[in-house]
Amino acid sequence: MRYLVKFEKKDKMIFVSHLDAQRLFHRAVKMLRIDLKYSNGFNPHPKLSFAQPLSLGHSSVSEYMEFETGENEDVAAHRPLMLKDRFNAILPRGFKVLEAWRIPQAGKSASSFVAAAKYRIDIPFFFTYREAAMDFFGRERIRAEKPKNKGEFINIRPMIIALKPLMVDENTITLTSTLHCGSSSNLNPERMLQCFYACSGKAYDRAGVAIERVAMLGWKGDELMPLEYLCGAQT
Amino acid sequence: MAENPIPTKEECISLLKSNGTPEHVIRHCLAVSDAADRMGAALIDAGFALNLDLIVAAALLHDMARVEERHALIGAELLRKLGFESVADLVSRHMDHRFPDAIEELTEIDVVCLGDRMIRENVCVGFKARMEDVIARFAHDSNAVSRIKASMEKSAAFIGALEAKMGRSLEAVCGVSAPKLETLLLGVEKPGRYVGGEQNAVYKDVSEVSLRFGLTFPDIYEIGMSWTGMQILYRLLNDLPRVWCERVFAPAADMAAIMRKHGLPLFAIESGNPVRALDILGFTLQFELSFTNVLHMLAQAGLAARGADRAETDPLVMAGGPCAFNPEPLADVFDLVVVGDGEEILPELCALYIAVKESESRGGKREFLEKAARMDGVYVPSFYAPRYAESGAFLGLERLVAEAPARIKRRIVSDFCKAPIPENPVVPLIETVHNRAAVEIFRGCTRGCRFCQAGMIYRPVRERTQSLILQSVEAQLENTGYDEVSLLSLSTGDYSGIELLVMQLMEYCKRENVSLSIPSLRLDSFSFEILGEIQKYKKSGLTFAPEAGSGRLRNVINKTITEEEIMIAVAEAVKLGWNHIKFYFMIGLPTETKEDIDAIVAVAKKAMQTAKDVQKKGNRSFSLTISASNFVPKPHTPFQWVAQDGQESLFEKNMYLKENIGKIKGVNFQFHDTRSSHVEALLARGDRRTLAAIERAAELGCRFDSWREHFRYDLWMQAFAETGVSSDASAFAIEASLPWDHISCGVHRAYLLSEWERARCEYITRDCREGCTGCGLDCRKDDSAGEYFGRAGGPV
Repeated sequence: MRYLVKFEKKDKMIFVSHLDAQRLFHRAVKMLRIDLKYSNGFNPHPKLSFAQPLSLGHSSVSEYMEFETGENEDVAAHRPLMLKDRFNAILPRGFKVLEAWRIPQAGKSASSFVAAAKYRIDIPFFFTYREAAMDFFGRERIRAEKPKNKGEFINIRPMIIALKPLMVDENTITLTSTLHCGSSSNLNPERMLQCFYACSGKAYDRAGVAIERVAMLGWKGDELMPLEYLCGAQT
Repeated sequence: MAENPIPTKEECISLLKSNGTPEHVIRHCLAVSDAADRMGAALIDAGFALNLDLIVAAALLHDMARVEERHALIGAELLRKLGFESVADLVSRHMDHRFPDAIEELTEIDVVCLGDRMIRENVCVGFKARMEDVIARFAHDSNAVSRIKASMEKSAAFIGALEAKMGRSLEAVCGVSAPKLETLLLGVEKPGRYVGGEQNAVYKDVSEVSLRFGLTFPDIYEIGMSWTGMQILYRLLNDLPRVWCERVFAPAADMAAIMRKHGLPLFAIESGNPVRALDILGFTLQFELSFTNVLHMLAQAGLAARGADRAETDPLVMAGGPCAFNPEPLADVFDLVVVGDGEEILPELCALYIAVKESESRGGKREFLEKAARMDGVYVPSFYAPRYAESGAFLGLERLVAEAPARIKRRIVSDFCKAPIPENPVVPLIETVHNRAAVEIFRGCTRGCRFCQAGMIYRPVRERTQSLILQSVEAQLENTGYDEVSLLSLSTGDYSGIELLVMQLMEYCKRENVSLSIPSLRLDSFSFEILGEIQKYKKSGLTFAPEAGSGRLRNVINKTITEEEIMIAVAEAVKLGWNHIKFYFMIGLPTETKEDIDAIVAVAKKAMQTAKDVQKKGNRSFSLTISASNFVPKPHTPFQWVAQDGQESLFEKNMYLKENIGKIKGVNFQFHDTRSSHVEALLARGDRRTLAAIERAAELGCRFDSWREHFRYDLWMQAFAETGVSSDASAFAIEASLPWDHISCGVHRAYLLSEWERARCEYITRDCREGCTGCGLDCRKDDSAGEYFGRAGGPV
C-alpha cells in the first residue's frame, strides 16, 4: 500500500537538510513499526521519499513524503487519520504531519506530478517595493547565471508564474510567488530573489530574508492543483 | 591648571545643561560618548594609543550647540573660551571629518566620529543603519547620494580594517544587540549542529530546577554526540528532577568566527542560553588533543581560563573522563576534577551542590569544594600546590587544606547491571560519526596490554547480563527508530557467552531489519561463528589489531597472539568472503628494533600470500590495509616511565614502512602524523607547568588539534619554546615523583613496575580471567592474588 503524508517543517527544523530530514522520517516510520517495503538489490533501501527537496533554511507548510509498505503491513492498523496523530506524537518539534492519505491505485509517484511551488517571502521594508516588483515581473527576460556553469546565463522569467506583494508593515514586505518546481524546470526562490534585488539595484542580504513554501502544485489541465488531488489520495 | 585641561564627565554634563542644550540632544550625546568610550577602550586593548578621557569629553560635548547653524564651530568656540583647547578642536572637526586611509593613523577624532555615526538619536543602531538614514534624507538629490555612497564605502573599508584588528565588530563592541542565533545560522555550515531540539532531547522549565549543568564536549557536535558517555550522563543527570543537563559543544571554526564578530557567547544547545547562565560546566576530557579547545570554549563563554581568576558568580568548571587520570596540565583550569565512572559520582555531586547552595548559610564555591573534596573520586586542584626541585624536577603535590586527601581514589560503578543504560538516547538531526543505538556490554578489560591506559584505569571487568543487553537494544530501537545497533566494550569478543548473545541479537536484528555492528573483536577470540552469522546478513569492514609485527615485541606489550593465529584468521576471513582486511600496528614501542619493523612488512606479505592461497581463482582481488600509529606513553600504564620515540625516528620508520609495504601488490599503508603524537605525549604526561604552553598555543591559534587540517605543530613548538616548558617526551626515572601520583586508579604502582620489568624480559602476563595477576585491585578475593603465570614462561 502506498501512503502520502503532508507535513510542515518550521522553527529550528529548517536547519535540517533534505537528506537528514528523510532519515528522520525513516526512523519515525520504523518507530511506528510500519513495515516498510525495501527495494530489491544488493543494498536494499526503504521505499520512502520526499516529493521535492527544500533548501536548508527555508520553512514549509507543504512538504510531501510518500512511502510504500510491505506485505506484512497491517493495513487496518494504519488508517490515515491515526497515522497523522501517531507521527505527531514522536516527531521533534518543528515537524508536524498535517494530513495523511492512502493511494490505492498503483501509479506515478507524487514527486512526478510536482510542477510548481508557491512561496511566501519576507524581505526587509524598502519604499519602492511596489514599483520594483512590477518592473521585475513585467520584464520579458531576466538573466541569471547558471549556478553550476558560471559564465553561462539563462532567462529565468518564464519560470516565474506569479509574483506579488501580499502584505506590508513598517519593517517587512511579504511577497508571494509561484515558481517552477520539480525535475523538469526548477527555480529556487532565493535565486529569484537575488535577481529581484539585482534588478532593483539593491544589495541582497540572506540574513534579513525568510522564505516559506506554502504549496506544492502540479498541473491538471491548465490549472495548478495541490499534489494530493493529482495522485488519487484517499483519506 | 594643566596646560590643556579636559573636563570630566560630570563637568561636561553640567556644561551641556548650563548651555541650555535640549534634553534629547543631551541623551544623544550620552549615547555617543558611551559608544565612543567602549570603542576607545577596545581599540586601546588592540594596541592603539588613545586618550580615552579626551574621547569621552569630546563625544559628550560634540553637539553642545546643535540648535545653531554651523553648530560644530560654535560649540568649539564656546569650549575654546573655557580653555578646553583639545576638546574644542575635536568638536570643531566632527561634522566633516573623513576617516584616514590607514588604521595606523587613527586618532581620538576618528573614535568620536565612529560613535556619532553609529547612534540614531540615543540608540546605537550601527554604522550601516545610520548611513541608510543619511541616504534616505538626501534621496531626492542623486548627486549627493552617490557622493555619500562613495564616502561610505571608504568608511566601511576603514571600519572593516579596525574590526579585523580588534577581532570583533564595532556593533558588538558598542553593545548593539546581537542578531538572533537563527539569523546567523543561515550563514554557517551544518547549522543543525547548533539548534538542539532532537528527538529525546530534554527540555525543562528553568524556574523548576535548582542546578543547571552544561555537559561539555570540547569538539564539534558530530564528534561529541558519537560518544556514548554523552548519552549516559545526559540521561542520568536529567533523571534527577532538580537538575537540567544541557549539552555544550565547541562551535566549528566558521561558527566561532561569526559568534566572535557579533559578540555572541558560547551557548548550551537546548536553551540557547549563554553557558555563563549555568551553574556547572562539566568538560569531558576524552583525548589530550582537545585541551586547547577547552581553553577556547572558556574564552568564548567569557570565562577566565584559570579557576583562580574566575568570580564566585561564574559557573563552577569541572572535568572528567580518561584524561582526568592525569589532570595536571589543566589542573589550574578546573575547580574540580572527577576521577572514575561519572555515573557513580555525578548524582552525589549534584545533590551536594544543591544542598550547599540552598543551605541556611547560602554556601559558596569554597564550601562546596571543601565538602566535595572529602568524597572519593573528587580532586580539587586548588587545594594542592606543586613542589619542584631547583633542577626543575617535579617533587610532588603539597596539600594546602585539611579536607584534601593525600591520594584521590577513583570511583567506579561496582554493580554494572545497576548502572543506567540510556534507553531513549538523543537522536541527532544531522549525520554524526556514529549515529546508531549502542549498548556497552561490559566495562574494563582483562587482557593487560601494557600500552593500554583504558585496560588499566577501567579495571575490573564488569559485565552486563545478556537479558539486560537484549532488553536495552530493543528499548533503544523502539525509542529511536535506528537501523543500526552496536555493541561497545574494550574487547567485545571477551564477553562471557558472546556467541549466544550475538546469535540472539542477529535473529532479532534480522527480524527488525536492523544491522548489527560489533567493533573491537579480537583476533584471538575471533569467533568464526559470529563472523559467519554477520556475513550472511550484512558485511562491514574487518579489522585486526596485532599492534606489533614480531612475536617478541608482542610479548613486550603483552599482546598474546601468534603469527600462526593471525594467518589462520586471515584465511578464515577470506574463506568467509571478505576481500578487504585492515591491520593496526603501533610503531615506536619500547624495545623496538629494526627487526620488529621488518616483521610488520613480513606479516603484510604473509597475509597477502595466505589470502591468495585460500582464494579461489577468478575471485575478486583481495586487499589489505596496514595502518600504523605512533606509540604514546600514557599515565597509569606499565609504560608510563618510558621515553617516546623521537620525531625523526618515528618518521623514518613510517617512511621505511611506506616504501617497503608499498612494494607489495594489493597492500595499502596508512600512518599517523608523528608530530601530533609528539604533542599528545607531552600533554598526556605533563604537570601543572604544561598549562603555560597550552595557553600560549591556544593564543597562537591552535585548536581542534586532533583534526589533521587544523593541527599546527609549528605553533605548538613555538608555544613550548616561548614558555620554557620542555618539549622533550623523555623518560621519567623510576624513583621520580610522577605528576599523576596523587591519582589512584586502583592498580598498584608495584604492579605497573613489575609489568614494566616483565615487558623488558619479554614475559607474557596472563589474561586475569584465567587467574589473578595481582594488580592491586583485589577484585576477586577468592583468587590466589599475587601469583604470576606467564604463558610464555618466565619466573613467577
